Amino acid sequence: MSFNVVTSSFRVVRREREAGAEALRIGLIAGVAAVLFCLIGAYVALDKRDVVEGVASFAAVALAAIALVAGYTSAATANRQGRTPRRAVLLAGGAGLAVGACLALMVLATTNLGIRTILVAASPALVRALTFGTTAGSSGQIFLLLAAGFGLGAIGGALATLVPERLRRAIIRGVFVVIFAGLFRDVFFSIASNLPGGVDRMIYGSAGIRLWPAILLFAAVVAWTILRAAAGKPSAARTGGRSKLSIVLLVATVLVLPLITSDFVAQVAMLVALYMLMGMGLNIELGLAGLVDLGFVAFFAVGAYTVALLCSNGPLAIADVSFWVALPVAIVLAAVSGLVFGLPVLRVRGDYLAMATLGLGEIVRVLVLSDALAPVLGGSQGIIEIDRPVLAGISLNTPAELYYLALILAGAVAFISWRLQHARIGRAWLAIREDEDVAQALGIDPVASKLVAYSVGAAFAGAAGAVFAVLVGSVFPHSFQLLVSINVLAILVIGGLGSLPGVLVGAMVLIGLPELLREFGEFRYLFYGVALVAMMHIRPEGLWPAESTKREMADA
Amino acid sequence: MPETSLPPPSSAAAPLLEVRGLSKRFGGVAAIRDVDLTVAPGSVHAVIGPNGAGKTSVFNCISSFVQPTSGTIRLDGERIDGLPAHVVARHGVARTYQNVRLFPGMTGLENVLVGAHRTLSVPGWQAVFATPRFRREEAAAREKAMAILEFAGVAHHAGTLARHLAYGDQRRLEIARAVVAGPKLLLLDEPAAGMNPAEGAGLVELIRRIRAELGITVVLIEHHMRVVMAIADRITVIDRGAVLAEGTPAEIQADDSVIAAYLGTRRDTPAEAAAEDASDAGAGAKTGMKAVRA
Repeated sequence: MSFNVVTSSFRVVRREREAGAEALRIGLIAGVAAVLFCLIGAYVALDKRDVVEGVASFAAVALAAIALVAGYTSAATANRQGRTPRRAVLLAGGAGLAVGACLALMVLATTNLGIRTILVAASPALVRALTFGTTAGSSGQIFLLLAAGFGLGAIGGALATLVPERLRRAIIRGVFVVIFAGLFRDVFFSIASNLPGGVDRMIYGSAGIRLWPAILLFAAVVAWTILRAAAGKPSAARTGGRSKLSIVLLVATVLVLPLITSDFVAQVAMLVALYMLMGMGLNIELGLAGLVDLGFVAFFAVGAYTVALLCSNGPLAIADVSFWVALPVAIVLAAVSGLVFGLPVLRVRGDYLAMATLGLGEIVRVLVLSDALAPVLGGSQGIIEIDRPVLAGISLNTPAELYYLALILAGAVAFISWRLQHARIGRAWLAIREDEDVAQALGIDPVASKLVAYSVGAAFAGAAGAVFAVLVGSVFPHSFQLLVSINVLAILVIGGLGSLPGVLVGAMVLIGLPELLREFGEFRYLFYGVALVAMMHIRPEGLWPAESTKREMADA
Repeated sequence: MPETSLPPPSSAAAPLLEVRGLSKRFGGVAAIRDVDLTVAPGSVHAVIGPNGAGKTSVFNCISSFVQPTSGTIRLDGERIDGLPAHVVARHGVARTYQNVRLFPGMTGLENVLVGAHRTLSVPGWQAVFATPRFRREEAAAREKAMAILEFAGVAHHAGTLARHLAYGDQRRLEIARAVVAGPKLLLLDEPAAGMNPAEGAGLVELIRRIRAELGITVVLIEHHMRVVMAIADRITVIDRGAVLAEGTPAEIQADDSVIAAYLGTRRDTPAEAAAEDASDAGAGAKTGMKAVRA
């Protein structure tokens, strides 16, 4: 289970230590993490959102999780060293106590030393939140913090040692489901609002899931997990495969999501579909042919600006044609620019290619921003008033409609990728990725094959750019930053290199989640980073790896 | 009867591969110096010599992995030196590698299909629409690939990832991948390395069938003297980057300079030494060579 893997990474770096010292060490590390979490302002930002309405804010859950994991880890260590469960739980409580002590010290420092002048996040609001709403300065609140730390650590320890494996699994899953349901209140609330009888208001409050529905949900998940395990059905995670059910669910969600949720969610879905489109393009380059392309955004820009110039009502328009005419033009232009740019850069390999394409992406961004091209491309003013696509007399205006446009394109691109992958050219790409010299000795022209991959990938990016232009209704240079290329790259890595469903899952996780958590401001990038690091430790092959990668990872 | 009307003996026929004055320097070090190699069509030609003698460098030059410093390489009378590796492959030169180099993340069948790359011609856009022409070609390619896997004795591994194959099967799959496109010339770099005597015998059989049934000319680098003596029509001995001797297996066995290079300067019973060497498994010969080099 992933949980164990996280804790095991602590294990790798340390020598065998006495369990007590180890518990203290883990507790202090966790405590420092908790203090940092508060002092960078994450606590206050995340406190605005409840997981369980009126009971636990997201910030509180995160802090509690730190103490729980500290307890879990130290108890598991003690257990391995042959300590009795009771002692293990005590040690876990000690670790939790250390976390509480760190926080208590921080509270004391905040109230007495006035560190706020240096650390703006050390605010009275933080102290109030940490001391359970009591007024500052009492010794009772310090005691409360310590007790809470000890209790949470002990609970974590009990989970690791006293609770049988099967129940532990079920409880952890139940907790995650409840957090998930609370965190994505907007999505589920808007889905529930389709149901009659005010069910939505019964389940969700204004900030999170209500207490009783949360308890019911938790109980249901736990019961379901235990019953399934008792029935002897191996879970999908354990067999390493995906059940048909999960695929059907995924497809169904993708198809109907924007219809049953709010406009905001539909807009997020639209963005996810857009990145999916780009992800499929980069998948051809990186996933199949192994070309590390950091300048992918360049072709996205080519597609967007082509449509902008052809479909705008603004002063810079060079034509006023429909989107359906502009789209193929954008795709072809992007493909051609892929060919033109590819010729010089594709003769270099590996890291050098990454650098060369990185430069390329920047060149395009600087060009569209430049004064020299401003009369044509609008410079930093961009191009505005781009017409929406019209289909059978209906203008595609709503996020949901544009979502389906992007989704259909993504589907077409996925289909093309899939067909190419199982043909002569796709096998050539894979061969080049695996061993370029050997591929060449078998008669494959590496430069020509890579050029095709680069160009096809560019064409797909151009299609994404075209949709982006009509989605936003305007294009500006700042939309085409390096971050876009890196996002697409991360989608592939997280989803699983060379895997088409991986692109879908990766786009949902990396684009969808941060958008849905937008109110957490800059802190979502913190989680983004933590998630990426954790991912590389736990599932380096990606969330939904390509068949061959899965087989080889399972073997390793 | 005038001699010209006789069917020419194979050694006198126009050579399939003709290497003249081949040299390769890496910086100041000469890997090979002035190597000549003539291979008759339909023959099995062995290249032997101590480790580090430059045998693989000769292969690398022929397959254009590296560009020779000087010299010419002709295939069927046509210059192939200086061409890019994939063009040389299209002229009909295929090879295997001393350390097996399969595409580890691809299945046995996929590996062989990549080998068939140069025989396929339907463009990618037809694959997208799965046109009848694409389907026909793809089906034929798969059939051919399966037949070659069968030929090489690894058909049961068509769906296995290459990295999961046993070592001997990897060697066989690599050979299957090399011959599926029907090359004129097959370069085998130590195909029997790491094989036990039984596997070595199976390999000898496979090479015989490659020549007999597929009509492919074979040049092989090999240390196992048993394998070399069993299948080679002619042998070229390379030592320290230069050709030491060339001839039939019998001639090579009797050649004093070869015996000296292989077994040191023990000249008292050269015939015995050669016979012993020939009957010995490769390991013995290799030890002998290493002793000389050391």
